[in-house]
Amino acid sequence: MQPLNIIFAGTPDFAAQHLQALIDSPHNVVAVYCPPDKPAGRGKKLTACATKQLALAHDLFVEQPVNFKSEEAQHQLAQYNADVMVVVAYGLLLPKVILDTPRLGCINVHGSLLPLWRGAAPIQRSLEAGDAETGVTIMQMDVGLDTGDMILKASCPIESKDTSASLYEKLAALGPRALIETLAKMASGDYSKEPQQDDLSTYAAKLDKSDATIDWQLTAKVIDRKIRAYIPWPVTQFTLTDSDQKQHKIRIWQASIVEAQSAPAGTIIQADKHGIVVSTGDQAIRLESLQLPGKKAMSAADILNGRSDWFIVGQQITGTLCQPM
Amino acid sequence: MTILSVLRFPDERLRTKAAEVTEVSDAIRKIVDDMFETMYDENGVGLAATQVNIHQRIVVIDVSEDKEDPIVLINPEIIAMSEKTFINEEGCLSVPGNYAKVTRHETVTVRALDYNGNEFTRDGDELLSICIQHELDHLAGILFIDYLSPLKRQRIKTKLEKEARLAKANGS
Repeated sequence: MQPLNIIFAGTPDFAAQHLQALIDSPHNVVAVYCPPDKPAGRGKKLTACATKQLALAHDLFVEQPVNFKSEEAQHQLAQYNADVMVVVAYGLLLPKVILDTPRLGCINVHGSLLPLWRGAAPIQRSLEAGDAETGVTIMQMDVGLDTGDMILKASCPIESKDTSASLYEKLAALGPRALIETLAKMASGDYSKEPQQDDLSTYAAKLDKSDATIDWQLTAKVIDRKIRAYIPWPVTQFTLTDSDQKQHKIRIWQASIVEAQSAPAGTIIQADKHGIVVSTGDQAIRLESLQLPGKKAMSAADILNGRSDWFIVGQQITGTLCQPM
Repeated sequence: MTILSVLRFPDERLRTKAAEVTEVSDAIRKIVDDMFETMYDENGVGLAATQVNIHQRIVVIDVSEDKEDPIVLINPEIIAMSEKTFINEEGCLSVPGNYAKVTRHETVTVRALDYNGNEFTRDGDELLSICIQHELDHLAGILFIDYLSPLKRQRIKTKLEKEARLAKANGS
């Protein structure tokens, strides 16, 4: 196999794990593209993304164009004379001129079994929708949003306790293997491309903080999936009004479905060391790990030790977050 | 800094129209500091000077998750707003414990003076847009419950008056 010259483009840790696999492979990473550094944390200090940090640690060339609209950025990329560009969670749209620049074009590692869940948040939306399995698809990129021909797919089951965080880890293990296998096929010229069936496609809309509010009228299954899908971000939340009429936003980090007596949705029906049980549209959800405003996540038992007055059996908790003005 | 007392509906002083600030002096900055202290203490995301019985055009806002984006609006003026509106649940520190859906413009642009008296403009969407509109209403003597039906408004008034009576009877 003739090693390929690769440009890698990616941003978060998920992308960096793919870059690590490329560094460890026989192929040559000729340049790493990532977005410009962004202010992060309370100090708003400029921070390099995970991909850049890894690239610098391996003395790779790093490019951080704002976009690829300028001829200068396009020319710069062409100068690397790469065989293929590997794109993983990059966050920038690539115009056709860039897609056509490397000899074998650009390939993307997408976190779903395409054509399901094209778009920004495939892992979370798949979990939220109740899919039995997810996976990665290595795709030849075209100008559409995740519409390119598929080269290789690898799947894994979604377990009942999986969160987006745990699925990310699974796919971050699956993706690099699939990528290396794909590149081996591309290097030898022995690969085929399968067009996606557009009529089977679904769209994974970007997550928004406003999506994270719990509607207790939904079924316990749906709420449970949403809780798991929104970990580690934005984390589902509900609003609790205390006896002084102050509202508190409470985040849910762990929960499970339980059989329960019937009560209006959003009623606390049990609060003890086993957890805080809240009725839903059908069954109930036991809240096991919660985060109070300004605190770290804690077990429900620990929270009840200090704040049992906030969680009174019979009390209604709302989904809406509404801080007074 | 001092935690100020927040006027509660139906206190008539909430209907006062605020006057322009003529100079962003140290005294005004002290009011701003106290208003932030009060707003954070009350767990609110915005506070107009009218609510703390200071009838000058001063607003403080912080809608950020981590309470790290304080916004000071002195002599604020909405200079642009989207035609598109949206409906959201609102609450008010001056109408405690009551929440209701209110229609607001989706986005607004506000022009104001900052803590140092420098003019600036800021666009607001989502909660920030609602908050700017809500607080500027306060400066004009308008409360969010004014957008509700007379029946709903009366119900809230009766409830708050009863709570005030009970609190007085209990000596608190």
